[in-house]
Amino acid sequence: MYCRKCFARLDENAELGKCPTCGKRFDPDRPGTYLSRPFPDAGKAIRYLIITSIISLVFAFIVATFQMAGASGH
Amino acid sequence: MTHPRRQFQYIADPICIACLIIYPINRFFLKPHHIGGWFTHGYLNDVMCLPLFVPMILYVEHLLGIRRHRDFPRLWEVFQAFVAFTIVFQAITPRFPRTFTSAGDPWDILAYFAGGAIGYFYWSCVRRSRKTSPTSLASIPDRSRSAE
Repeated sequence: MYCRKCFARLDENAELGKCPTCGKRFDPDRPGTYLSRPFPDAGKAIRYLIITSIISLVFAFIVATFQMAGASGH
Repeated sequence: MTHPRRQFQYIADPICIACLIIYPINRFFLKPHHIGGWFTHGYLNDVMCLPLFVPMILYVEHLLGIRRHRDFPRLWEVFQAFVAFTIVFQAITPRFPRTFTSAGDPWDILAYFAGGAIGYFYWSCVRRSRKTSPTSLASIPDRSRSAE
């Protein structure tokens, strides 16, 4: 079992019901409250990829706009 | 406690600072005086593009809480920025010549790639050296111990 938020191991703390590192609560009887592997699930990974791609594209557009203003030697 | 030197410093990263120093030198000295020929005139800024902007992009992600760790840039993060800059500067802006001054040059893609490869090589070397150095090993928090 791994924490959904910080990916810390939870096996030794199952009886506590919360992550010892970040404090996020989990229930050993409910698989949706923890991860079976220390990686984000596919949906979260895709969301992360989309958001970071948008940030990169926005950044590139800002650089292009800066270049358009003639202030850059790009 | 994690040793601060082991963490990625984002905009304060040496390679990013080096690019910030080289950029105005190229813009206001090398180019106007035609020093360095075609490389400084056409491609030096493109080579510096990813080593300069990847730390900035990751810093924005860090400020937004999307990138929670302070590890050095991963290969896919550098590649993502490479794809984003290639799409914007080689596929989108050349289609709007009245709005943007960028002219699509396929060699720019190679320059972005070279800059990204140099940056990633540097970051991976620093990451590896700090992981193996005794002082940094002592400062690495034991995750398994903290989870107990």
